[in-house]
Amino acid sequence: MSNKPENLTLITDDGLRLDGRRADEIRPMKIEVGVLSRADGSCYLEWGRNKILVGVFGPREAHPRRSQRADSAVIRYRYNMASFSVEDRARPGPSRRSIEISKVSREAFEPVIMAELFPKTAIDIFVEVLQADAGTRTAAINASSIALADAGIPMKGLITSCAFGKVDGKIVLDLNKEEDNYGEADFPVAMTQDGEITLIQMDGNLTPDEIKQGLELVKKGCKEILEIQQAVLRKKFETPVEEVSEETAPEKGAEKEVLEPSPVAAIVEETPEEAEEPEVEISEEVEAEILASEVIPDFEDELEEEIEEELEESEEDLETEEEEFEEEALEEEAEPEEDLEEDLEEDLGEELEEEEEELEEEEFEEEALEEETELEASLECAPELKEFDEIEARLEKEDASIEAEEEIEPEAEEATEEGLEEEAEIEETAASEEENIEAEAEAEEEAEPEVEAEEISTEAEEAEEEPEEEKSEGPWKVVKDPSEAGTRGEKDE
Amino acid sequence: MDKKIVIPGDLLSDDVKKSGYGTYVKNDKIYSSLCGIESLKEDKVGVIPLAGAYIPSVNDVVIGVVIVVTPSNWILDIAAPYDGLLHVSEYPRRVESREMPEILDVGDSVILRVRDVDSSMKIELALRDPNLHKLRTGQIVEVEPVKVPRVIGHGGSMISMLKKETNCSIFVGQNGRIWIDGKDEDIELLSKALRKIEAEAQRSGLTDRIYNFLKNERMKEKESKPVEFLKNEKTDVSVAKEDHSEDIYRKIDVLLDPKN
Repeated sequence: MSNKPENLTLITDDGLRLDGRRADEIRPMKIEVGVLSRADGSCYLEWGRNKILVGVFGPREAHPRRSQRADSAVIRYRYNMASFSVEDRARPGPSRRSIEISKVSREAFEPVIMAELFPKTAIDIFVEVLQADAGTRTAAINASSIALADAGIPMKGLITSCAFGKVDGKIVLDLNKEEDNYGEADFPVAMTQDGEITLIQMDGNLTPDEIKQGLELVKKGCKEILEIQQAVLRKKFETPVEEVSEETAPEKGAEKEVLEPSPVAAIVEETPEEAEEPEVEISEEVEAEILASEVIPDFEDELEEEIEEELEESEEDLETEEEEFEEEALEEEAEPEEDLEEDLEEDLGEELEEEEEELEEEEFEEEALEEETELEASLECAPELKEFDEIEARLEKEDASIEAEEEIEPEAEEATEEGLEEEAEIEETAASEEENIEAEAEAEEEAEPEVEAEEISTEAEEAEEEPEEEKSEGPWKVVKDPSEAGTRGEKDE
Repeated sequence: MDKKIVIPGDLLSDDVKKSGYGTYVKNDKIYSSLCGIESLKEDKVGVIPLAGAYIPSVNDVVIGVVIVVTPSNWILDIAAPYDGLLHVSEYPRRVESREMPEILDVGDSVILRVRDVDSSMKIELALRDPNLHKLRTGQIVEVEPVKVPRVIGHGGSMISMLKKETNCSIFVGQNGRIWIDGKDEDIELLSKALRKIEAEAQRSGLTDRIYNFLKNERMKEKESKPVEFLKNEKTDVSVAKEDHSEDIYRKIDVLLDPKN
């Protein structure tokens, strides 16, 4: 604005500016995304002779801690001009100007960044101006916007920024150095893609009409810039298309499911067939089952082992107890069974009980989250309890009265509630998988007070609803847990 | 390609009820808030992110590294903006506070489950599960959390293929940390493969691509190995010769020795 050389004409008579642009044209813009490997998101932008490098970090833990906000992320924007970025070496470090630009630029982004999703964190935006040629703050905002998107930070939209100014009494878009220095006004604006203005500054003098006129220009300029930004981002994330494979559709499906915010981490074992064939779309449930089932087998095995070991020891005890058992059995069929179970459990020791409790706890937890998990768990637990079944069978051979019990079973449905309850429980422990379902069906008919039983009833429903899916799980021979993988593992005990 | 890339601010749908992950609603319309792939389901419109940090959610299984041991908590880095807390009571057995560093010390890696995340993002972790344990061997490779589903593959196809082809054990944490264990060369191969997965995450037919990559690498190894082997043999032979000849000379010397 001052000491403009006499012979300098910023705009020629036919409306061309110093660099050959028209009044409503922006300088050529070149953008690269993801240029910094250590940053979460980055962008290098050249706009005319401006060169801007932006790195975005975060969301990350905010330090110092007192700067944290309990309900949202803090956005920190640092605009810095490299000392070599201008003709006369700029004093390094923050200056009044850079602090101000940092502040207004940060405020330009605050409306669009969904900071409330990341409480207690900080999102850092570092802007380095490597070469300045007027309009660096607008260039920096354009670049930051891309870098933020590149960092995967949720935003309501991209921010685009552009300046207009008054040069030789004319309103022009996107001033360059000379125009900025010798023009009459500079008016940077940043806006969302809907045209909502998030930054507006003015340096110089403009009339309201000129501002209106200028804002129209800026809108047009921002639209152009937005298109460039979008194109660059789309290109960055685009899939490099080489071979069009049939797999695409199912793969996408998988992605959807697995990418859902709360999937259980998968540990899937070797399934040779699966590697080759792009499976038929697997429904969510099946997938969930697969994931869920991976969690279970481990403790199932453990439990089985323990039971096997200790059952052998306990068999002798059982034999001696049989006499008592017989007597009681005559009085009431179900009760001795219960006793037997109790004895057994005592013999098996605390560990087993604990194990089972834990198992149940887990079942509940998982139930809350994934019903399938629970189904899986209960079904998979059933087989190992066959051990009980075997012993019972042996006892039944010896004792006719107990044999009779099986005949009574169908009648049991008409018997007292208590008896039924216990019957159901017996079935639960004793039955193999199919029998288990039957038993659960029985259990379903009664409203049982025990949580266990309730659980079973829901399980039964599910079991009836989706037996095919059970089978469809076939190829997915799940799962050896990593803790079993020979080379390593051990739990800390 | 039916994968549509969306960027923040893209209009996804006019039906407000369908708003899903990675979207926001404005003026009764759904817009994307992330860079990612549009995912359209019957009842939900969402965005599958292609970038972004790992934000813990309940029941995620993650790999954490102990950074602080306090009298009743272990504080773990779980590759998220937030640190995780593992309370002693969440350890499978009772632990006195003085023995805590013996069980898990600073720098130890552990597979954990996220037990709870509250609104102020306090992450509570748990170790009470047979699958969860300390990692004593192997290595941890970090990939971008958004690429984790690609490492697992469709229904686990990728991970099972990797296991089969490299003879390694793998555990993929939801937070992008991947634990691998096996022979040194297998681990090396596998981590190369993982890097490749990360780099080419958006390509189609990734599993086949990685399969071929592993095959090629194996071939290269086989080709390169025999050469080394021959070289070794040669040197061995020559060394043996020398020994032999020396031996003979000594014997001859002995024979020629007039004192005998």
